[in-house]
Amino acid sequence: MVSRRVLHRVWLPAGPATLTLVALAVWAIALPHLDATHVGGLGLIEVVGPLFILSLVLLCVAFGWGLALAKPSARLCAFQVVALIVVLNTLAAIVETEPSYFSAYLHAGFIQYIAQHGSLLPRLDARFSWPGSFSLGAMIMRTAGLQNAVALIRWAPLFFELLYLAPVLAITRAAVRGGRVRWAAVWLFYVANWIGQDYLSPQALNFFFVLVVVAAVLHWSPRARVLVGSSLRGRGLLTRFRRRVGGDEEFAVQEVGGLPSQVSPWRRVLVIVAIVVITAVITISHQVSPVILAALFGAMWLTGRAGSLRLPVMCVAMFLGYLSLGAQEYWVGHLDALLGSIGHVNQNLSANLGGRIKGSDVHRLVLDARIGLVLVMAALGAVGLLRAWRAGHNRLSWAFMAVAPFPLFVLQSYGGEAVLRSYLFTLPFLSILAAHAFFVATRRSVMGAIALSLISSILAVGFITARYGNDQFEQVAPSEADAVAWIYGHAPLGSTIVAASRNLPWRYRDIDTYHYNPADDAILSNPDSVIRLLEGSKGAAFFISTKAEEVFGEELYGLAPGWLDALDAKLESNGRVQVVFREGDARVYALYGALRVLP
Amino acid sequence: MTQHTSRRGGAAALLILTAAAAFLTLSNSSSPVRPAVMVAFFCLVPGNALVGFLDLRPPSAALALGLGVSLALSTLCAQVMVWCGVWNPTAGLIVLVLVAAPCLVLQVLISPRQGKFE
Repeated sequence: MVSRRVLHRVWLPAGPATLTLVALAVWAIALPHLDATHVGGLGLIEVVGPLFILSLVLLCVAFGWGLALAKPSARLCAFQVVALIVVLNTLAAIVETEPSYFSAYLHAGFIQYIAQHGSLLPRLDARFSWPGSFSLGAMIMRTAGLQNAVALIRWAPLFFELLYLAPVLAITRAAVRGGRVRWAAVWLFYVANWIGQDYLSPQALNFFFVLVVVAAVLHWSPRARVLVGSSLRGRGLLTRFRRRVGGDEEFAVQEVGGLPSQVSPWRRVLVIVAIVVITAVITISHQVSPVILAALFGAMWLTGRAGSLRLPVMCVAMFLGYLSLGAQEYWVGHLDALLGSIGHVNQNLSANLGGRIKGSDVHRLVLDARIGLVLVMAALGAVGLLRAWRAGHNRLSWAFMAVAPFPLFVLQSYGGEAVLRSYLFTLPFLSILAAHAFFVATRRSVMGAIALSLISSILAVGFITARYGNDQFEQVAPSEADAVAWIYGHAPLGSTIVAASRNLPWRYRDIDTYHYNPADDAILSNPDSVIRLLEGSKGAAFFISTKAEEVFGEELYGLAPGWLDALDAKLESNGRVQVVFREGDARVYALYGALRVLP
Repeated sequence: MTQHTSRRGGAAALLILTAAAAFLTLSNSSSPVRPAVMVAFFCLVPGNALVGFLDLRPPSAALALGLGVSLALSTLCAQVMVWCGVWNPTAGLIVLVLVAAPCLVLQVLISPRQGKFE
């Protein structure tokens, strides 16, 4: 006779666990057949094939099955979420020959510089004014015995997504009682996180730090939760507001295992010290994260989730203090870039929304998929909020947390990326609301589990489309990597390296000893200006042309198809430059005179 | 397995990781596992060595704080070396090891009072 405990812990979860293993087996069978070398405008979704899609669907069905059990197993859910993270976030790393994304190579270059010299170059690039993440990368690179930080690029997305799991789970645990809602929220967070900000970058690390700080405040902040719900006393406007949006007092007392007052004072002080230290590290590591953290702190205080106004004040003071003193070399001379867009709401909205929707008709499908995923999550969040409300559970405070990051893109365009960053920071809280569209409190719902399987399958396929939709130009072909390596192997120090766009796997080393052009987001499509740049350089000068640059110009800058081929043809017929390296679609040009200085 | 045993086991595992990280770096090993060991060290050890004393609950939040403090302390250590012009990653690693190892040894050897962490 099987005991009830064994039945619920072992036998019943065995079904969904087996299906998860089958899904992983299908995924493993699908991978060797994927060929990413001829990706079109839709990105990797064009090449993943039915087996890969089947593995995603099976994973989602297995997860829904697990949550449909009378007593869902936390271990099974954790295993399934890790499986999902691996399947979603390793696709490019496994199927592509070279690590992808040009910005990751540049960050590898910053890390390389610090590792070699132990100093910074704030005048070279604004990001050196917030160097914490790069310094950490340099320490890891040196102590790990790596020759360069390019080795860290390939697996960075998997690493960061796994890193997010503990704080996201902790945030959901602070928000809701039921294990079903909690794990559904974590699942939705991962299937909807197509943003791709998890490459080797400061924002990837600092997103993690922000999640940790929010989780710590929600669980251990002084006076948190005693302010939540109907336990509030007083008639002030803020008190009435907190009472209205606060949430479930009954959860606050029972679920967390004791009110904060029962946590010993010295432990609480040490947790606050940890929060302050992490906030300080965020301040020196990334220019945007402190602003969003301050907004989240403010929302937590406003809704009574954090008892003290000192946290948002501390965050803003740290940010302004560091900006004034530590990042002085950046903002002197860049005040317009920093403050110029504040208040220009229309321009910022246009840069963040309209400015990002362009490209070929095929690539626009990817952009539509991205917008669609955001709208689906927003709709699920609204439905979840309503369902929870009707069931007597007030989740308004999480809705406040979800909207708190969005003022960022009204204040600053951040190169048209602020809306993406805002969506990323909103996602942990939006996922909590969205999970209520399927489950409410601890109630079992087979229909909810079926709906979650179905919708998360659609979201997972959408994730592959949205996340890897730029792969036609973000992917690095071996010939491109070889062209850049050829230049580093042959160009004398001090040479000028020119490219049609920044979409190249370059600047991962010697960022200070070569002159790179363009160093910003400019694009060079005029042959005359390219020749002028080459001739105007002091030392040897080289021009790199690759297929990825051409597609980049077409999709992001609206240039005519084949624009770089036309530029190449003009350069070759010009008579003043010659091809010194050719492999596949990659070419390196040099002025005839420059060849004399080559070794 | 009791909560206390599992806590001791975790501290012991981190102590082994600390020893491995120190050995691989100081011996300048060319082992292929060295990068993975170093990443694991910087993510797990410094913070969990300190946060482990606090016996926080729930475990997911305690783990998150341990990871966060680990990476924050490692970042601060690296950044202070850069700002002070004393860049020496191996020395930075040794400092972190010297802070973390005694804390982990204490966690392995000393029994917390039963019931305090319930």
